[in-house]
Amino acid sequence: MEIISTLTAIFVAASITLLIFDRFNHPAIPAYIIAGLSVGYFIDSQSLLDLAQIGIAFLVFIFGLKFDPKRLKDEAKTSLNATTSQLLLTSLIAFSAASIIGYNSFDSAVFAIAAGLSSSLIGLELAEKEIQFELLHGRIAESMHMIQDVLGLLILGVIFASGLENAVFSLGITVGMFAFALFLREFAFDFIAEQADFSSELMMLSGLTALVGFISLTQFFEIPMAIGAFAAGLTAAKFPHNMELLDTMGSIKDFFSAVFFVALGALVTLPSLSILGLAALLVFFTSFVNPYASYKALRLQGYDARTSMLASFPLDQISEITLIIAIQASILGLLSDSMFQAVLLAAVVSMMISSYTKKYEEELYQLLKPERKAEEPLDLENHVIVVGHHIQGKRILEHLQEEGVKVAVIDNDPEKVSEVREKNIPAVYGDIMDQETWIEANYTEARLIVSTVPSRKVSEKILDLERPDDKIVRASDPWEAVEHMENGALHAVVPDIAASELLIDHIEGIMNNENYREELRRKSLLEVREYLESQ
Amino acid sequence: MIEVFTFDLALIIVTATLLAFLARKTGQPTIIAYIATGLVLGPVMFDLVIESEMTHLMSELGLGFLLFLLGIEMNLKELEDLLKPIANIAIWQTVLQTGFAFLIPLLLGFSFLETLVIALCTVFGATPVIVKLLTDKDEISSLSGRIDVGVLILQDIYLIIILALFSADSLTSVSQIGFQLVKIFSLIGLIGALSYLSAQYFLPKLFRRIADNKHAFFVHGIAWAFLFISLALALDLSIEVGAFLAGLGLGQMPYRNELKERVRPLTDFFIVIFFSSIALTLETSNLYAYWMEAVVASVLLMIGNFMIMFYLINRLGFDAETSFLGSINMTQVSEFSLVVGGLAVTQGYIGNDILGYLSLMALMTMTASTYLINYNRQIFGKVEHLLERFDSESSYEASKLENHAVVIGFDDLARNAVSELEKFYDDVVVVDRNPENVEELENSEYEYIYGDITHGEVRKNSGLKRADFVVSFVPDMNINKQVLRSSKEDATRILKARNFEEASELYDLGAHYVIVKNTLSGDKLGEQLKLYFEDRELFLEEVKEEHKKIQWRNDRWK
Repeated sequence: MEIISTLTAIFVAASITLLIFDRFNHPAIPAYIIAGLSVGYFIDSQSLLDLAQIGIAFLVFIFGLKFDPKRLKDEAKTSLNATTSQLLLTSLIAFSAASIIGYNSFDSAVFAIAAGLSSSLIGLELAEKEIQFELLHGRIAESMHMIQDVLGLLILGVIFASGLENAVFSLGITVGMFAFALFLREFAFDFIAEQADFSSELMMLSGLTALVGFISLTQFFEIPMAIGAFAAGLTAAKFPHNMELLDTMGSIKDFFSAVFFVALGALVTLPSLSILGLAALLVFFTSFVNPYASYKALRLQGYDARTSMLASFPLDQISEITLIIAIQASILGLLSDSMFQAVLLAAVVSMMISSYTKKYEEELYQLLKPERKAEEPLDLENHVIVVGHHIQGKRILEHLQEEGVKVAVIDNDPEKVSEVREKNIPAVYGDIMDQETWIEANYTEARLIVSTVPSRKVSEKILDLERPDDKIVRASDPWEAVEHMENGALHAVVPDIAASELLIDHIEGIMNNENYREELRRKSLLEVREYLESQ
Repeated sequence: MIEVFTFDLALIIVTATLLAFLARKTGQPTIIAYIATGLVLGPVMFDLVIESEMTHLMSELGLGFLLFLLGIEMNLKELEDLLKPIANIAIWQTVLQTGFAFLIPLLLGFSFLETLVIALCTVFGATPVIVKLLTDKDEISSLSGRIDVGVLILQDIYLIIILALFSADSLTSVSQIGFQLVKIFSLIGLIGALSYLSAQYFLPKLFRRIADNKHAFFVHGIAWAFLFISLALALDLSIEVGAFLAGLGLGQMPYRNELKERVRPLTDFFIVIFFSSIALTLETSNLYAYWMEAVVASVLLMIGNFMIMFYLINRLGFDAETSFLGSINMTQVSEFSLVVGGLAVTQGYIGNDILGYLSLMALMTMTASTYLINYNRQIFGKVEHLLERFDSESSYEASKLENHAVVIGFDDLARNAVSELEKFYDDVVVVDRNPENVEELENSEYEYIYGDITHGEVRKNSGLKRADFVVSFVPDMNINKQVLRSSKEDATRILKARNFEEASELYDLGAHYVIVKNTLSGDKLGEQLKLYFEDRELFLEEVKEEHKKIQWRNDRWK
């Protein structure tokens, strides 16, 4: 069978490029596209387009499935403002640039979309750690990606419309479909899940039915099927069903999206100089203009320089939604071939650059950070500087206050800082890596620095400060702790060790004393409640 | 717009979903629903859908991946202790049942060639049906379950040989058949050896490097399957042979559970299309051409299969219960009879009417046996007294994890906790998905499962449902909620949270203790700081103790 050998070529090529890309910590999508480039001569990519379309459907379905508006909560408003201004700014400049070069308005629009939208598949994967640890810039990046995805889909919904009237109609259908999906999620999905008895097979079938159902609707209304796929995903985006579905549909998505991206790569031909130039211009937009616009927009929303910059780095690549728009437009003959080729090339390059900007974000920040004039140092002497105001920092602050010691707090989250200031405790808002922040905290006159930030760089920066003599830092493992102590730390805290000893005591208690378990539960529960109420 | 999800495909999926829900309500296996989908949409009833290129490809892939999974399932190490009795049972069972299956159609008046094909087709038990039902009932790791799975796997090898034999171009003389057999065996041996050798020397290195990259891990598994499928096709063997042998190699690796979990949904998806498309090609007249014979043969075959299996298992000294359960599970005709039958039709050995007869038999026996498997223990309770004289002291013990400890996630914190738990529990199962820990855990005395606990397969293998002590060191709410949902309520359950909000939620859901790492250390440091302000020297004394411990730990783990 012809198609079996084609699939073999696709997956073998993809596994080789993935192996190489994994070495350099590059994301998967450019690896797939490059695999496509290399097998493009052997396979007939046109015959793959059907399978690739299924890839798009599942890809966008998973987007919908993962879409959780709750994640937006804290940063919703600022992210929405920042994303809108960044998107408007970047795409306006990009649109004018493409128009000036002489592209028609559709080509220029695709160019502008490519410049403005960034890939949440890649960005969120790169920022996975920050999101997991709920760091501020990770949360902002996540919210901005989510908002961009929705905006991108709305654009996808209208871009193929013929004329204004049709565009309004398509937008209406798109929004209506999302609303219908949310309605089903609220009122029907639990019932279906119950009927399915939580069998993963039946859940998968229900998901598939939602998918083909919504896609049939889009075919009926003649709008892009990705809209239907997203709506289908939204229908099931309810915990815990979305997790189960993610488990099962995730594999199907991975299979078909690999085919999609490889087939996409197979469409790339040997580029001419003008296509290379256009691609380079697009990369300039995605890698410089777009993150810069995001940075500026976030600064305007009141975030400090470091947070704004670190949140902007994961936004510097071409979106998969752009790729979907490009391929659909190319198939329909709306997009010029040179623009299509340029977008694909720029996608590969920008996605690869993205993993480097993420890797060297700290160095880049040091290089690019704006000069900051230190404000007046705090009028404090012989005080203790507590770095970081998360769980651990809060605890320590409480203990220190009980002792009646003078304290100052440093944090890079404006909300955390105002929270501290409300309690009439002096706090400095700024980046820990900046000397100015320390000057403001009047560190030379301090008696002790206690850091609760689990970052090697922060600990090293603190140990580099010439004063005070007493510094307590955090280490993520015993080896790091030993290193810090050799470099002059009075003490290096390894949370694992403290937790480990306590845990072993608890296990022994539970095994040897039958009442211990309930007593432990009661006590710990009480402690948690008390803490939460005190907030 | 481009129509990818053609109306046909959409219709198949929607119908299959509806029927699957119906099947669930009536306790049927979903396979029945899928076959019925083909019957409903095909010429038998409404004649709405014809097999297209896309559905054909998907059904081919479905069969391939099903055998790929089966290969992965076949871990030689786990079957080691039962290998001898299983081989003994499987060989005799194949011989006796082939003979028996040969007799029935011969007596019913089919021609010799037809009888031969029917006999070869109806020997196998339906692996997916049995494996799925037993897994759902959590009986797959029981002694009878393991005997059945072992026998089915050996049957599958037999099946692969038959498939290869049937896809060979011409079979006219005995010497040609002999030559064909030798050729098939040597090619299978060749690919099998290739797969096994790479599993020994090449794959572990490759997979260790990419196991933490979710995309790469999955794509490599799929690429491996396609590579062998293409190889098999190039050597004139079938897709299924290549896929099975590819799976066999991967099945010997510690990552197999994770891979199985990732490939299964894809298989489930394609298999819907596969089973539906089987009946799409059936003609009504064909299906009922030999319906009387099919009913008679089904009844006879179910009774005969049961008796043969019971005799064989009991003969080897297993007790009456194991023998009974082991044989009542195996009474149906496999869906593969349709595959082999389909091949035989393409080769012109039999007509479509015989395929209809085979389909009817598969449909009837699978439906009936679903109930037998579902209620196997109740049925045994009813007939137990009749079987007393078959009871013997069993020499085989079922090893089933029970009242054990399950530890999820493996880091420094877990390392200490596990060695503590080891003092109180005979079995400590560690579930972890960090490829860097594979070597250490493989060589440890703990039961080790590589994989993600949110995956059903991994949960079942770890016996989470029956565990007495569960600790999760993964501060992930999705994982921890899942752990609380799928463990016993009276088990001790300790979990890890990132913050107090999460901790509070986990307590509400029944956790006994929630580790919030940063509070613990925050409190400890707070206490120490108190000392610092009272007496700096005393503080230094105290942290010195801790530093010693850190140093000691480093020396120990380096």
